Amino acid sequence: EADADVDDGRMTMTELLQRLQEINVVEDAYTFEYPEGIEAPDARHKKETVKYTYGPAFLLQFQDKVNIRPDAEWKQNVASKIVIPPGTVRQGGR
Amino acid sequence: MSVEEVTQQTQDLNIEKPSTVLSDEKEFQLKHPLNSKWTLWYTKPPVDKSESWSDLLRPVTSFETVEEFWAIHNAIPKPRYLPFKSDYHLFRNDIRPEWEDPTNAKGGKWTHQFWGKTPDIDDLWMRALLAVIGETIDEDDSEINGVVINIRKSAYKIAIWTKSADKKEALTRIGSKFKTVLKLGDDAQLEFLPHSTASEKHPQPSLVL
Repeated sequence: EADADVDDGRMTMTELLQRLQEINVVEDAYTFEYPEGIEAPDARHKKETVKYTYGPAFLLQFQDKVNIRPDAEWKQNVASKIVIPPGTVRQGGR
Repeated sequence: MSVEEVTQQTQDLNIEKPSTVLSDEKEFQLKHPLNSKWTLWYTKPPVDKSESWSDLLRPVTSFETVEEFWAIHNAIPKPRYLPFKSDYHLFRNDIRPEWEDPTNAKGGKWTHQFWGKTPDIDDLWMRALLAVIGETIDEDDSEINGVVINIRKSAYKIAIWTKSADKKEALTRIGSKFKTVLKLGDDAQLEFLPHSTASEKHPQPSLVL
């Protein structure tokens, strides 16, 4: 059952939000030393007037690393606001 | 303690650099802040006539880090799975995704309609989101208010909303970058519509790229 709230070893959304409140920020991604294998942000996206900028290639590296399980609490409080009324469901594509 | 031992201990300390989610998915100790908070809004398709716009348009959640963005993006339905007559809106801070909002009132939007089958619509929408939250579509952070996708039976529509409608040069630079983000060729049209024309029946674009 895809909707069951079962621990599958991943961090839950609720745990992630809690963690993010507790940890510090990468002040400057352009000088931060990322380990080998990670593409550092491209300096051409750096701006004088905007502190935090990230190019798309850098951002895309997070897509699979942020591997979070949407737990029941989050689904009930947040995801449930994306209401797809019965009878309007599409299977993908037009 | 010998010199060797001290050296070894110093090296061990150096190894303990705080990690990001890019190198440690579970125990990361640093986050990547976005330049502002962003709020995701959703328009539910109306199922009966008694529902007003304010019943249908609701904020879903807000985020202010790259990590949260992806967690949310990965967990919610992609545009291909949204019903017709629904929209996603991603707006900066607490700006409402309506042209009546004071921050939008003097602005407009660059918009493109994807007619017919658009199998890569999810990817195009994601590219638009990344350009906006990464602040790479604008030259200083003053112009972009938000980005919208409308899911309609005849077409998908993606638009980027700007704060002003009269800064032709700045808007043109944003528009041409947006064209690249949406992978639009030279033959595809991107239109700029000032919100002041939003109540007209057939508003004419003030800029076309």
